[in-house]
Amino acid sequence: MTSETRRTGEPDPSARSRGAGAEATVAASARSAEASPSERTQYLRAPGPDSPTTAVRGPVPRPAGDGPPPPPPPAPGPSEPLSPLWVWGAPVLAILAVLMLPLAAATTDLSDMDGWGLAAVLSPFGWVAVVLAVACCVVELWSPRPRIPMLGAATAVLILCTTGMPSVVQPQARFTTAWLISGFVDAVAGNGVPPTGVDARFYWPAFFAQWAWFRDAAGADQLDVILRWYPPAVVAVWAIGVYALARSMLGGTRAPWVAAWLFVGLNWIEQDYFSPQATAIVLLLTVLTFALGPLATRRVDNAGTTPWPRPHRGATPLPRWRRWLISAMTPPNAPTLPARQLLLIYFCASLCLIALAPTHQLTPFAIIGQLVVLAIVGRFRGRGLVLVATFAVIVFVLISARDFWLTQITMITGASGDAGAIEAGFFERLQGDQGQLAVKLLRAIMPGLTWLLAIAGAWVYWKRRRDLVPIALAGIPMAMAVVQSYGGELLFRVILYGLPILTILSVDALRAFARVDRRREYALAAGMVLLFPLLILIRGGNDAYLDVTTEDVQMTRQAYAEAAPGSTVQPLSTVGPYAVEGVGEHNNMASGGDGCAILAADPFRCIDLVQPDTLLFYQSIEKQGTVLNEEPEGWTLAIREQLIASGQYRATYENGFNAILVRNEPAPLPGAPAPAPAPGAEEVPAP
Amino acid sequence: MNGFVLTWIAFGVMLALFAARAWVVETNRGRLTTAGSAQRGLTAAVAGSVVVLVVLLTLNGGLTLVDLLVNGEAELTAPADAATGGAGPGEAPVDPAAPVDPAPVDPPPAP
Repeated sequence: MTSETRRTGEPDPSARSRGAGAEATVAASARSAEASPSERTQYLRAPGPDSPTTAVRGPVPRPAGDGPPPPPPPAPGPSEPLSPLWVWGAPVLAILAVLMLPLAAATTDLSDMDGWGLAAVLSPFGWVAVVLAVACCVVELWSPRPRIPMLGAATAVLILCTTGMPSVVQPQARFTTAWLISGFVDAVAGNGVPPTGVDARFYWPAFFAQWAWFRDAAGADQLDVILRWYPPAVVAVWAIGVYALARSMLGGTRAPWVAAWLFVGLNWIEQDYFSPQATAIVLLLTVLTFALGPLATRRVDNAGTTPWPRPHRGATPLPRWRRWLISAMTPPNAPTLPARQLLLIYFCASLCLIALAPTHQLTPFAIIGQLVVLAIVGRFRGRGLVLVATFAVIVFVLISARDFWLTQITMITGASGDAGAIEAGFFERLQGDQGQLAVKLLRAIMPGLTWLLAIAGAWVYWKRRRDLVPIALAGIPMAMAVVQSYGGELLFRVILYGLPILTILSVDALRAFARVDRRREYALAAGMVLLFPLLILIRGGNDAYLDVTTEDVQMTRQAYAEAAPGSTVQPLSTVGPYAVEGVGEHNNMASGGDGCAILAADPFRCIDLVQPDTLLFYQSIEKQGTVLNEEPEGWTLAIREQLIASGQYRATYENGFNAILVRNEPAPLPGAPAPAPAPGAEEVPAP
Repeated sequence: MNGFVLTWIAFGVMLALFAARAWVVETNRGRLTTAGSAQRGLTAAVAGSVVVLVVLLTLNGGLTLVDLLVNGEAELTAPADAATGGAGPGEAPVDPAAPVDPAPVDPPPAP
């Protein structure tokens, strides 16, 4: 028992009557020693399911000497009025930050982006919005009575001004893969059946089917707006999950919010675009929050001491036979929730775990690994959930994804020529101009710093709670690195799966750091002001060639509308919204054999080999070459002109670096009728 | 009814038994009959359903997958599931990324 005594219910009246006579004198002498309210026994009522967290103040350290203990500092009374700074400061800052966003969108010139990406062209209004959003969070956090709705609103504004900044200043979703996934949804929306022989991701079709259903139910024919605003929306949901996890692991009223903000600040990984893994992370966090929250329990040694870790240095464990005896005679831990609530949580957790199986390839293994760790150390009730998740994945993979592993087993085992996850995720991407190299080095440094901070937090957590399970939870997803052939994306996923726990541990370290000297909070606030602009720099580092314009989207849709049935439509390089439509019909993703998966790798040989009927050129392809691959400026124009001059292709659309080239029909045989011109084909003069 | 459908049914039964057992365990919590006959019976039923599911999974793809992982190739005896959009029953599945084999060409006749 610590120096702080906690009991439930009222003081025992019988004990009081028994002690009334004989112990009156003793009690009187003891009362003077317990004169301080902080040292009196505090009687707590048993909490109900909806009771707020009750904090018990710890004893005030007594100075050496025999004098009376000093009175504890008075807690701020609820009726004490707050300064207008605390009442109005955060709302005003939040409103100002949001007002800056339209100005930032209007004054940012996206056409000038280079290897430094969005940060180099972002308007000063955008940077001011970021600083105001951070100030809003800090002011509310420092308030004597922080308001939960205001902290929630501040978090939303912070996400909008940082993660959501590209969505604000760019008119379309900026990520090529997001448009590809949108094309997958479009393919499923046609007849409700995923196309075969196109892409391995179709073997996990739940996300595509879900959004195809939403799209059809809404009567929409495209998801452009959803794609644009998906990243800030899904990061907001993730932040809620991190907040809930941090409440369970850290306690307190401020630290969970800091954990959510730190998670947003360290989430440079950009797996939050419109994708199955973004939804899968939501499901993962839901299950993890259940396991570490309402289902949490702790396997304690009922004898009072554990063999390892020892409660304190020099503690001697009880004999083994005595621990076993006490353990056998003690009833098991009873959960605090009513049975129906517990059953509802089991149901929801099972639903999330089963839904994960057909949604994403990797995420089920991450959550199963984390649940196994928690089950082994006895940290949650409902270990059957591990079996439910495991069998859901096995049944789905063995039966529904059978064609995948029958034909593409090398994606699991790895082919001999495949690069490792670290090589593909880092070293192969370390190319480009000065800005690109700087951004990519920052991307390598950030996870390292995150892990260092988290290890410091794990040390603090260990000293505070004698618990190493959280750092194990963060490390478990790293075991997935054995799937070497998954490619460089795997490294990002592994970091992302551990990031919620890593940030929570980091906040524990920062909290211990700030408690030493409260003035250090100013340094932490300054660090926050530095972190979020850095986030915009890192996340937007590839925007020179990941930016998608409205013209790109319209041009692509025009190309698919004009394409003859069964003809192939391909981009010169795999950037831009080239697969927004026609997946499986015009674009089968697997046509690039012989090193020609990307035509730009060896343009004329590959175009001769693949012979696409329609070729798409985007400004982003031009930027990708100049920024990333050291191509000369205008290299796509040169390719385009040479193709047209050779008579192989003709342009049906040209505007700057954007163009649609259509393959010319071979010359008709003498006597054969001339082919009719393509309907809607419009010759646009070259700029 | 093929093995795949049976496996899905066994999975569903296992989930139902898990749910029933959770209901019995949690709603009997705090009573004296926490390890009553219903709970013992459901525990045995859950264990049985897990065993049946493991057997069905082994027979419906498990052995093939292990064979594929260990040897790099497997003898396909079970049909692919048509519901996944793959090849029809009894047909070899289509490899979307595999290069197409050239058609066999007879050697030219000797002059």
